[in-house]
Order: sequence, then C-alpha cells, then structure tokens
Amino acid sequence: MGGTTFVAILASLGRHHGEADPTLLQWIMAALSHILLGKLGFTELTVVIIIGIIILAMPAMIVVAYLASTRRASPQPAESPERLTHPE
Amino acid sequence: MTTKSAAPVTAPMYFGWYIVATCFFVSFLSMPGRQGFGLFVTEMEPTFGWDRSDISWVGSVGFLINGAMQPIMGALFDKYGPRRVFGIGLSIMGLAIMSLAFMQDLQHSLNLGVISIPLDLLWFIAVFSIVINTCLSAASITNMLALVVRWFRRKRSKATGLAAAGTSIGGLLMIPFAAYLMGVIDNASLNIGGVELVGWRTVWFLLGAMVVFLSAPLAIFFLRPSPTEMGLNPDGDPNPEDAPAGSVPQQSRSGLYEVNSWRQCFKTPPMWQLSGAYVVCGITTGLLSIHFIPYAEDILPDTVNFLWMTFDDKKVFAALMFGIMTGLNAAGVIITGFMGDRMRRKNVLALVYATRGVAFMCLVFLPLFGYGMLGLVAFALLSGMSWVASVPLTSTLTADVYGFRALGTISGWVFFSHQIGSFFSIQFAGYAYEWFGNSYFWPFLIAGLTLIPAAIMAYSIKEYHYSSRYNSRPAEAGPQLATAGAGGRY
Repeated sequence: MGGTTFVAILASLGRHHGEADPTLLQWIMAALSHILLGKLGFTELTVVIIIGIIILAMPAMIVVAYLASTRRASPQPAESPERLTHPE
Repeated sequence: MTTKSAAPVTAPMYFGWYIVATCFFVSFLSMPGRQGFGLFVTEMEPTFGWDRSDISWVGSVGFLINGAMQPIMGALFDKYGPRRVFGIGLSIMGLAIMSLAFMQDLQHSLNLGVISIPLDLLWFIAVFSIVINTCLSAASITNMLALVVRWFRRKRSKATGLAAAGTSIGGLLMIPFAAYLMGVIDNASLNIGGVELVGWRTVWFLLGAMVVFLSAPLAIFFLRPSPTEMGLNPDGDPNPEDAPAGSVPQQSRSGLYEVNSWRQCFKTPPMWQLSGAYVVCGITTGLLSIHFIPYAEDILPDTVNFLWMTFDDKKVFAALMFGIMTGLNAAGVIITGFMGDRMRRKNVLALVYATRGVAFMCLVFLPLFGYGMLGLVAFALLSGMSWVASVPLTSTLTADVYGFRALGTISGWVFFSHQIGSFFSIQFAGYAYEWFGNSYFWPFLIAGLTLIPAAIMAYSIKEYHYSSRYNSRPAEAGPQLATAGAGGRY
C-alpha cells in the first residue's frame, strides 16, 4: 500500500514538473521560433553562434577583469634611487 | 634635483563582485540540470522507446531529491566551505551530464511487481535524477546566496539579486541555445571518425563539458568563503585606520538571533515567518509553472492579436507570455535587490508578495469581464517582476537575522519549505480543477489569496530588532536566543 501510494505520488508529480515539462518547453520553443526565426529572420545557426559567444565571453570577462584589476593594483617595483633622481 | 614619484596605485575591484559574477555564471550554466530534462526527453523518447509516463519518473525523482538534498548540501557547505562543495558538485555534475551522451538502449526491464522499469530508463534516473540533481543541490541558488551574503553588508541585497539573476537569464538563453544547437547538428549530418553526430547526444556532451571546464574552475578559484580570509572587509570597505578622515567605519555586527546551530533558529519567530511566506511562494510559483499554460488556454480566444502580431495558435501566445514572465524575473530580482539595500528588506519582500497577489487577481477577475488577454498580459508583467525576487530577499533576511555560522543549512530548510508548498499546490490544483467543473478559477483564486497572509507574515518580521543591519551588538557576542522578545518597532 505504502509503495503504491509512493508510486502514485511520483507519477502525479511526474505530470507536473514545471519549466522542465516537455510539452511546455515545446510550446515556448514554438513561440520563440515564431519571433526569432519567423518575424526577425534569424537562422538557428545565427542564434546558436550569438548565444555561444555570450556563454564563452562571460567567464573570459571575469578572468580578464580579475587579472587586469590585480595587475593595476599591484605597485610597480621600486626603482633604484639613482634612477629616481637626476641632476637638473 | 627632482624626485620621480612612484606610479599611482589603483584600488582593485572588490573581490566580492567576482564572487557575484561567478555565481551568476554557475547558475546561468546549470540549465541542463534544471530544465534539460524537458528539453532533451522529446528527442530521446524515440531512441529508447520511452513514453511520457515512463519519463515522468525522471522528473519526479529528480524533483524530490533536489528538494530533500538542500538542507544536507547546506550543512556540507557550512562544514567544508564553498570551494569544495561547489567544485566537487559542479565537476561531478558536468561529468554526469557528459555521460548522458553515451546512453545505450538496453532493451530489458526491471520488474518490481507493481511496475516495470526499462533498464535504460533506470540508467537515466540514476544519472539525471539522482547524481545530477544531488550535485545541483550542492551548487544551488541557496548555497550561492549563503556565500554572497558573507561578502556584502551594505550592498547585500543588490549583490544577491544580481547573483540570482543568472538563473532567469540562463533559462532564457540556454533553452533556445540547446534546442537550436540540436537542430543544427541533426540537419548538418556531421561525421567524426565515421560516427554520425546525433543532436541530443552532442549537446548533452557539450553542455556537460561547459560545466566541467568553465563553471567548475571558476568556482574553485573564485568562491572564497569569506572576505576575512583575504584580509578584506565586507563591501570592500577600508580598514578603520585606512578610512578617510570623517568617514564612519562599519562595525562588525550580528543579528539578535545569531545561531551556531540550525536547530536553534526553529525556536524563533523570523524562521517561521520567512518559511511560512516561502511556503506560499512555493504554492504560487508551483501552480504557475504547471497550470499557467492550460489556464491561459482556457481564457484566450482562438486567434490572438497582440501588438503587431497575430497568433493563430493561442498556445504559442500563452507560451510567449510564460517566456516574457520568465524573462522579467531577471529585471524583478535586480530591481528588488537594489530596493532591498535602501529600504527595510521585509517591506520589499512584503511588496513582492503583494504584487504577485495583484497579478493573480488580474488573471482571475479580468477574464470574467471579457478581458482575458489583458488579464494574461498584466499577470505576465506583474508576476514576472515578483517571481524570483523573493529568493534573494529571503536569503538576505535569513543572513541578517541568523548570521553565517549555519546559514547554508538554514537556507536549505527554508528552501525545503518552498518545495513543500509547490508540491501541495500542484496536487491541489490538479484535483480542484476537476472538483470545480474543469475550471481553474478557484485554484488560482485560492492561491492568490494565500499571498495576503504571506505579505502580512513578511511585513510583520521585526527586522529593526532582529537584523544585523540595525543591531550594533558586536558579532563576537554569540547567540542571543535568550533575549528574544523584541519590542513593537518593525
């Protein structure tokens, strides 16, 4: 009985898994394609390339910003007094 | 004689913002674990001969495991720190996602008496529902926000809002990316070493590889546990001795109920107020994510004219509204994040629930007067702005009141209450739809009405007395549960 109830709960949950619902996602994709491919005239490949660049750019920007920031922040090595001073 | 001055030293960007950016990216890229199931199974069904009821097991088990593992992963986060929990979690998750590319049709079933489960489906359940969803709990939004709040005090709400926006924007971009990439690969008939690439297998592999090679290294490098480890102060503020003359240095503060153990927080009112409101959050978002589209179909005309577009299929328009709602999540979470640093956070949280309540009322009552499409559009705009906004505000308030020592576990329990609300609302709405003569009016009205007590619960949190924002007691003072009994000022 307990097992049957558990199976029933799981099965009912399975009908309802929100944004992961395959039917809902198919409809959302149909709506997106209606606009992106139909109205705006993009191809699937164009959308993939644009989003792919965004995905790869994000971690790259984080790392570059960090490296640039730490390099900017680190003080220049102290130069010898002879080079810092010169006769007028 | 002149002296050449040394090059000026520019202050580096505060390290906390790298943590926010990394959390944003990690949640952005976690789409395969959250929504990959729905996207890929329609492609996998014909290969393995599964039907939709078979596949429901995968989503169901994953949903349960993800919710139940949150407090456990929160406890691991508190004990072992973010770099280990996120690093290991993301690495295993990425490898598990990659392994789905190599699934085979096993052509045998496991007979359990009541049901018979195909072995390949069992394989999918083991990898996707158990391994990936467990790892997703490790790298969850609750653990992320539990980390971000340690790095910020004055800008805490803004920082958590920006980090949480990755979930919404990730869903918005990663779904079309994965779906169209599958189509591109299938249409191109690509061959590597004589093996023809299959769309869904290749995309599983690529998405998993992104998690392993992009998310995990970033998390391991950037997700440091606290600013003190790096000799920094929250918000990047200077040390008191370095502060400019006339400025008021931040004191190290703690909330009235700062706890060492998560069990202690259950003896205090804010935990129940936050969890109670979060149950309602789960009730309404759970209902929306499942029953929104069928309800929208009920109230829309067959042909929808919206702005310059005509939709011959009302399902497409309903799905578009759902997409807009999802897209607005990002705007809502960022705007409320900024508001949370300028106003009482419990007031902003109450406003979020009240806004969602108005959205539900628009959806329920405007169609009764013949304005179905207007009701749907108003609902999409208002509920989109308030859907995810409750998450960072709740996490921030939890940190303000209970401190950091057991924050991962406490946030895990609060999130668990959200899942309980989702579970029961989904079940209730399904049954209520049939009880009330195949109508969603009452389920949506009841769900909308529950937002009134949620807004009251959030508003009634005595933030002024409980929160570290307004409490100048030194952080070292330790737990103060015995002093509970705050006065009347909210």
